[in-house]
Amino acid sequence: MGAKYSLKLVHEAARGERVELDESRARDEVLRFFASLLECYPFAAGVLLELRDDDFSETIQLPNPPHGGAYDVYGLRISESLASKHSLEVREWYLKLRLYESWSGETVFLVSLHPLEYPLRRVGGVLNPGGLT
Amino acid sequence: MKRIECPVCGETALEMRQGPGRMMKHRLLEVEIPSDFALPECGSCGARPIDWKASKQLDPLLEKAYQKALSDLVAADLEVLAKVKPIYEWERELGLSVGYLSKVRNEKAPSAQLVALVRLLANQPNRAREVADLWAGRSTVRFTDSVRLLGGAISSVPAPMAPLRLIESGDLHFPERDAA
Repeated sequence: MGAKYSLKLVHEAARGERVELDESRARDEVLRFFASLLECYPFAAGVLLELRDDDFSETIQLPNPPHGGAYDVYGLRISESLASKHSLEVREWYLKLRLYESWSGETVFLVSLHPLEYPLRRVGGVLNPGGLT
Repeated sequence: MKRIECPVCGETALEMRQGPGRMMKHRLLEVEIPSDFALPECGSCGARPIDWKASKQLDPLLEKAYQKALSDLVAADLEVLAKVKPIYEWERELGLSVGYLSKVRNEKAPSAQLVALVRLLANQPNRAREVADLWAGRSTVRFTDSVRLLGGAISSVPAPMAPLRLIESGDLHFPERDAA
């Protein structure tokens, strides 16, 4: 079964700067690596633009509350150029996202964006934290 | 502006809001979002999804509030240090140019590192002697003392922060000096 949200639309939203980060498992997590909020978004968009179908893991329904709705789970090893552009050593990242219609149009809402913590089964194979095989 | 679906809880309760008391983490501190800055907030779950465009406007405001918070912190702690000895002596011991701390007390934004150092010294002004020894080449890290002070175990659990208190210079005791 494929992803609920089209990657084409996800990429379009990222290119159009229509990206939102949830507080606890996205914004606060990414803020651990950056000095300010402003630096988080170009990184988040960069990660979204590198997402491929092979990175998809599953679609999950989050319980409400605190979250509601369907989210697509991805895991990917970001490119060396993206990592070095943002001075990051961590290459394996975990994402949980949905698309929704905000005031700015179709927007990617990232409820999770943080370093991968556990092995993740994906369409393209298992991804391990820290590049472990 | 109309309400739209909240991406967090799914309720149609997301609307632009202003008001005081909205806090947000910026660098090391929680700072207040300016009360006249409108941000989306869900009336159902309280989520505040901030998008990239809003962050471009918000970030400089948070930075300003952060710098103000650092200035306020260091100003209060410098009041304590000033009761121990003149500020210019602290400037000399910390390798700062003359007048630097006075500027920090008034208008210059301090670094987080300086704020942390001043807090440590304000809580234990007698440790300035260690700094003087460091510059004089008379000291090394006293690791064994550190272990003893920590009760024999080094823990990553942060110790509860002691409240800052004003200390009169007469209250300070230097056992080695007093013995001499």
